Amino acid sequence: MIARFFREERDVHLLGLLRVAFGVLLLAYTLRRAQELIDFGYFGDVFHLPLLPEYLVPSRSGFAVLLCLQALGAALAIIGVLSQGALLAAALSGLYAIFCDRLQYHNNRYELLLVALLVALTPCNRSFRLLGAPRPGTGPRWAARLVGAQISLVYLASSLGKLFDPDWRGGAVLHLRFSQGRHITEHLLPEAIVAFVSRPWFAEVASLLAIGSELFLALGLWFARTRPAALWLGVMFHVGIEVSAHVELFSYTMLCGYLAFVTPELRERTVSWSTATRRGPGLAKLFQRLDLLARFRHETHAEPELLRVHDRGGTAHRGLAALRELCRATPLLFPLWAPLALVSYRRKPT
Amino acid sequence: MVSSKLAVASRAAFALAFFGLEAFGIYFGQRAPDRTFGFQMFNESSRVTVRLFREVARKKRRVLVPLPDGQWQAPDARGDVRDYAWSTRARASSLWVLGRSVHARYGLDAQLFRLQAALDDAMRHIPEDTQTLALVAEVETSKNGQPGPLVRLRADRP
Repeated sequence: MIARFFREERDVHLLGLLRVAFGVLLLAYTLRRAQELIDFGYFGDVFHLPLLPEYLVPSRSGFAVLLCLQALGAALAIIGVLSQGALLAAALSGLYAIFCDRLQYHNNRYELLLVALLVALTPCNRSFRLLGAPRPGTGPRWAARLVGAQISLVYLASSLGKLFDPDWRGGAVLHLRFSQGRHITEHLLPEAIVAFVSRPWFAEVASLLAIGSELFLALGLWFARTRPAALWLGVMFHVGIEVSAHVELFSYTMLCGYLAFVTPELRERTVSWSTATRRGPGLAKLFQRLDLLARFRHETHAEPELLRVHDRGGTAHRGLAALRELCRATPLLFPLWAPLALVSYRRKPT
Repeated sequence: MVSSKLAVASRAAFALAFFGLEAFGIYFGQRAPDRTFGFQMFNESSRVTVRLFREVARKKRRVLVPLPDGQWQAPDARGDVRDYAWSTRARASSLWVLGRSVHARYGLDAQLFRLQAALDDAMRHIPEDTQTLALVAEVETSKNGQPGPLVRLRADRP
């Protein structure tokens, strides 16, 4: 089983997208650190806490050069030139900088750099290249699996830490956070709802739900049956974090990391739009563009029924069920999948 | 066949080393006061209020002089009066905020650990100050909404 895990070969197309995503995130992270250097000065010139011996902490100009190289590495990864080595070097230099000052440590930064490092080990250089033709086909999957494991590990460590902390489990931590954010929610929500969510028991329930969600994300992403629900929950979870807490690039890192859980094979589903309707041809063009993960073969039909979708197993879906299947595999529409699944779950496929 | 086995072995060894090191990091983070590498997100809703003092000798006694804005003046060895500021060294972290309740990032233990290190660092970097015998911080703490003890940290002249 271990040998099979490390020998497995799957389609590599989506790994290129993973590389571009983490190249962009790494570039954004590097620019942020450069801005910090401009705004607050070099950390090595003031109070800092290195994990490495002090003589290994670079000088101010050395750190500036490091940031430039890191930005260059991220940029090369984005355009697909020497991309694996460039991404690996950029991730390693970012990790080195964290070891130079633990005051600069943030979980989201560390996670971004670890995932970027693992992405660099995948055959991510064969697609989404600005220069040179793509080289489609299969390649080793093991490093992409490790990217997934890295995503899960964060959820697992975070949820277990909260679960074993009585203050977190009991709602004390979240109750205070809700109280601190009350002045904002008072402007957005009716008074009765604000009073409702301000009660201690609500914070306790929310804490248990948060812990349960993280545990479910850690495990649910790995099983085909639970994966869509886990991905949907994860999207909602991170949109919620981004709206309420703005944790640097954390939500973007985790959401991009979800690409590692997408089935690598392409165009195993079919979407067909009616050419007999006024909206059909336009929607067909639109959804070809929205199909970022190349999930569908795009077809048209002459019958008046606007939309038909065949899933991976060949089952045909019509009406709301077809829309549900379309949303399930279209990233920008994925948030609509769960509500549509709820209202259409009784509809039998044809 | 041999190269395939070698590839599998090297991939497995890498995965083992990578996650082994990371697991060690998480173990370290669970025990480290600032939770570095521990992946403990939103771990506490604690707050601290830091008040800074310098300890000086007056009439053969040691007294604490409050530094509400973190600034003071002291003579050097030649008798020239020089300006000092807490924020000169602690500017890259939230530790420079004095006299005001602030969120304790990564928890109470993390802030106290960082504050002690910042005090030690500050004392190491004011060798010209001939008056200040120690820097002392009094920290009002509140852990997850419950008032905590008043913690006193100090760093003596090295």
